[in-house]
Amino acid sequence: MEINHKHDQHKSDQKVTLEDLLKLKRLEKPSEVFWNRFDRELQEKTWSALVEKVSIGERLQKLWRVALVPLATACLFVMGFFFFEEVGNSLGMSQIPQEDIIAFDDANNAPIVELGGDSIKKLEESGASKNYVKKVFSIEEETSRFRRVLPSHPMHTGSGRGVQFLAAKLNPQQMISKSNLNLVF
Amino acid sequence: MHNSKTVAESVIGVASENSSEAAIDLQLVKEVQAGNVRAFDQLIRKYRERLYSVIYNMTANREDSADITQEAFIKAFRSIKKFHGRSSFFTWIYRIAVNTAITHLKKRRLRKYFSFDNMQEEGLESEVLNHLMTNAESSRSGVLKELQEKLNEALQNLSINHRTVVVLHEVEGLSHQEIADIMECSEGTVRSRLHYAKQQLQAELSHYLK
Repeated sequence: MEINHKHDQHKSDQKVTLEDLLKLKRLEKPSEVFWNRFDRELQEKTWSALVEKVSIGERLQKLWRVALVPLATACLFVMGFFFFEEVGNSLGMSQIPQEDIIAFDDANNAPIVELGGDSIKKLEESGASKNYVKKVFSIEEETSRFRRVLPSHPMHTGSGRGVQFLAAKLNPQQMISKSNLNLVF
Repeated sequence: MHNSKTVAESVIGVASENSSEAAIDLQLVKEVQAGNVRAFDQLIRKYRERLYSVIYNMTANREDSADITQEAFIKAFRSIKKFHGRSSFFTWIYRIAVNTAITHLKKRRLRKYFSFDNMQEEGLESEVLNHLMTNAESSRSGVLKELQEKLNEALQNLSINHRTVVVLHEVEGLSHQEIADIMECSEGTVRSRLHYAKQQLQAELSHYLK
């Protein structure tokens, strides 16, 4: 008590300091009415945030549920596509079944082969006859650029993936060889 | 010797009080994280006045301060799951509040509009005011109003960072370390900002420092 009194006495003799002035700012306080309104508004905002939080979570869950089947299907489709593409590539480059091999010949009785639109267009642009022979040949000779084949039996004309794949690989410049027996792929 | 022991004891006392407060806060935070929204109300009630005061003294606008304080609480509520207790909840919520206020101040740097809270009645009995009144010609409330305006004006003339440090240290009574944690800077930076800010304030408020 005595210490406090001495402290007060000492302080009253001193000048007003900046710290003293700044401490006066502690006296600036809002009224009780202000706090009532503050609490009410904040509670509303908190509940809104909560509802928003829940609804975002629910929406995501719902979206997930709805999107799960199409997503899984799409994933399977993409995986399947890449799988077959990969298998197709490996087959196309090294293990092409003989019946999928496309060859071109200018024989008069050649059937028209239905290939992909782009390939047909390329063939037309290259000046090659549309009546080119599509037959399956047995491999007679193979070089790094193309295989020379001989006719063995009628070409499989189905639109199987292997055929399409090879059609896409066609290079019109190499399609018709001098011997008309060149297989291109 | 006796005095130093008393200081040491009081420091230990404050520290243990702070740690028990931090433990209570952490418990409440865990409850909120577990889904008890009501626990957040307790945290709001505990910190609303302190946060409002910091923001009010930073912005000098009571309406903005209310909005910013509420925004800070909402931000804290939204991200409470990210609070892992690495710092105290006190530091965390103060940091959110100060950053929210700084963002607001940066956005509205060109538009300064003051609106003050009234000084509480007990302020009229303040020793400092009595001292100031001895040479004043106007009434007590007149001196008070003038002082309030000058104080806020001087604070607003400081940069945002300097003002924040002054408010947190001189008005709110936080330690340098606490301010450094809140503002995510070094204690040295806090001291240096405080020193510079006080020099500026001394110059602006020299009329009252007699």
